[in-house]
Amino acid sequence: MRSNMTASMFDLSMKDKSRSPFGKLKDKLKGKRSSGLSDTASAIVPSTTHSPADSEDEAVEKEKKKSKFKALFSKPSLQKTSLSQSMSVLPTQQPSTHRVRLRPSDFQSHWDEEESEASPTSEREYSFLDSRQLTQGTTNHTKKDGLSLFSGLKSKSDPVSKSSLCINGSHVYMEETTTKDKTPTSSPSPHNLRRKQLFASEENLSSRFTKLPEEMGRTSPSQAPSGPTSLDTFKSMTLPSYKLLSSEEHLDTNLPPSVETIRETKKPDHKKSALLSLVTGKKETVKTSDAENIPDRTLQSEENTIPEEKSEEEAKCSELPADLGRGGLSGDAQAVEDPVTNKQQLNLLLHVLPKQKPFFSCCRLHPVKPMNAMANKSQSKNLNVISTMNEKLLEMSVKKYDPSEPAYAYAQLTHDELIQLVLKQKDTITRKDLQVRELEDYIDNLLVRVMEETPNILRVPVAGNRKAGKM
Amino acid sequence: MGSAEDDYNFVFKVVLIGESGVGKTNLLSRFTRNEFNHDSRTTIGVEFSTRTILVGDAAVKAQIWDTAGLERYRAITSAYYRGAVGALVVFDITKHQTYDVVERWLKELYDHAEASIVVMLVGNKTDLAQAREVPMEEAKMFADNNGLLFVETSALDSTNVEEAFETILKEIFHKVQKQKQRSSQSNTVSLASENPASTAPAQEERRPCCVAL
Repeated sequence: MRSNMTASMFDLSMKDKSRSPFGKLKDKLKGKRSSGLSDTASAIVPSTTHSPADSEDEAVEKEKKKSKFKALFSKPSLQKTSLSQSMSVLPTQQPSTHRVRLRPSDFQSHWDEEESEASPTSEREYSFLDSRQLTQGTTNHTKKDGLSLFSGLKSKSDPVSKSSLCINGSHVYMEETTTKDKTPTSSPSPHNLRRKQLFASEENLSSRFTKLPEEMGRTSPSQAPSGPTSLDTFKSMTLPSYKLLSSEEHLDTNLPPSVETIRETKKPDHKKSALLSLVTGKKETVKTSDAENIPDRTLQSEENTIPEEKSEEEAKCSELPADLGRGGLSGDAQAVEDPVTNKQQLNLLLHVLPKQKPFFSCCRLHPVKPMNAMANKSQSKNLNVISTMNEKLLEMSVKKYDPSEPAYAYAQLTHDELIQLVLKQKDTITRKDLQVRELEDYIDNLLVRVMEETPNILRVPVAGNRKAGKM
Repeated sequence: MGSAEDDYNFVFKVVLIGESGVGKTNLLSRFTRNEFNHDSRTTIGVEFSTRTILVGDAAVKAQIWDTAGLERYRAITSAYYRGAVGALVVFDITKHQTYDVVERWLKELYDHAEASIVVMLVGNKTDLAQAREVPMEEAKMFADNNGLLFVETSALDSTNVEEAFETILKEIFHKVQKQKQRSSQSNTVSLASENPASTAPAQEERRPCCVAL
């Protein structure tokens, strides 16, 4: 079985390489990191090409990757029929595969950090995966994920929003995973059984996946609000892929059927590329990659817990409806249970903030508190800077409307009204000036008469005292 | 009436001119009442104060007129300068602009006052020497070139205020004495002939034993 899998994987990888630069990057990476780094590492390399501005592209890529991951998950359990459907879908999505480059970068950061911190808790991952699959294996979660991803791409014009949507879907997924991870129940032995169940659940996902395009229009708007948690999506995406790899390699005995199904069905190209990269890396250093992946997840779960707390605090702080304008940030904070690395969060924030600033200034009443909470928790300087900037903007807007200030009366006037007011004031001032001049002239004439007739009247008052004394 | 005002030998009318805010009114109050108002406002209208000092053995009553340093022509201008035998052209050493317009004030002065008027250039606010914008040498040179007396004062700390007024009054007195000698017949100084003071200008009278100034 395994031999079959690898062969199929290679074929796919070959195709992918020829098609997309992503494959080339992977090759380069592989060549550089011939030793321990896993396929995931190679996938990460493309990150250099990643540009934050291309949020839309990223979202698309994310979706694609997700789809790949899903496909991977589904592969083992996927039925031939579902596979055939997925195949049909693939051609349409392929055009966007070249965008995949951008995505890898995001993954890179996570993975690199995680890998560096590689922890021995590989077993946990397996257990975690299993538990997740079992619990989350239910079609509901999978559907949400797929829908959210697609909705993010199509429904939202803004790249950021799209990314956020994708994240939400992934986010939900991740949350469950994280919670499960925390649970000590995971044990290496039961994994195999669980995995089988998981595959079944994955099948549902694959079927959903094919259907997604149709559902996208409907579901996207409703799911959109959850979108902000783009970071989560990345992690979630990455996790599935790792899981598949690790599961496949370590659990070769269990996996074989899934591999066969994959071969037959020939999932979408992006999935293939991901699989290829994974397979290639795996063959050489499958175990190492798995071990690395596991610690990464544990780290992520830990990070996730922290962000959740932050999100809760933020939610408390920003109870006002104005926070909605903020949308991305608050939503992200709350939704992002998967704590991506600080760097990733920063990137996301950077992307989201500039676009959302107008909302902040206009809508937010108490933007400062949530921002501060975010910054403190994240402990990232960048966040602090952004938050301070936002606070300033908010303060400025708020100050304008301070009713206690005399300017409040004019703060609500329109530009034209203000101009009219200025012109009116100018008119009155000129009239007053004329009056003043006339009065001055009158006084001067009176003064002249006094100076000529009785200048003593003009003596400084002190003279009066003298006179009184004299009297 | 045996009032103190009558106990003088001469009455000299001196006018204060210069840009608004240079400290004319405070110079006057410092000299005549030894007062300084830190938050004095722009002078409105016209007023004068007097102080009698001894020049030699003569009692000279200084009648010092003060008005706002306004640029525009005013109906009182001619009346303000009429009969003045001395003028203090004041500028602020911390504001070069007030020094730049001295020439304009001189022109107005010579347009309306007697040609023989004694003019003193006064650089005020020497207490703000750290903010000085007009070098003393520059102002001194300008005064010498235009036949003006020159002194730097501070109405705030009284520096040179007495000296400034005494100097110009002595100069006026000497000028009057010269004129008197030239026209020995008349005992009245031509410059003071139009002195608005009701009492005869430049009269020589016995000094009162107690002059309340």
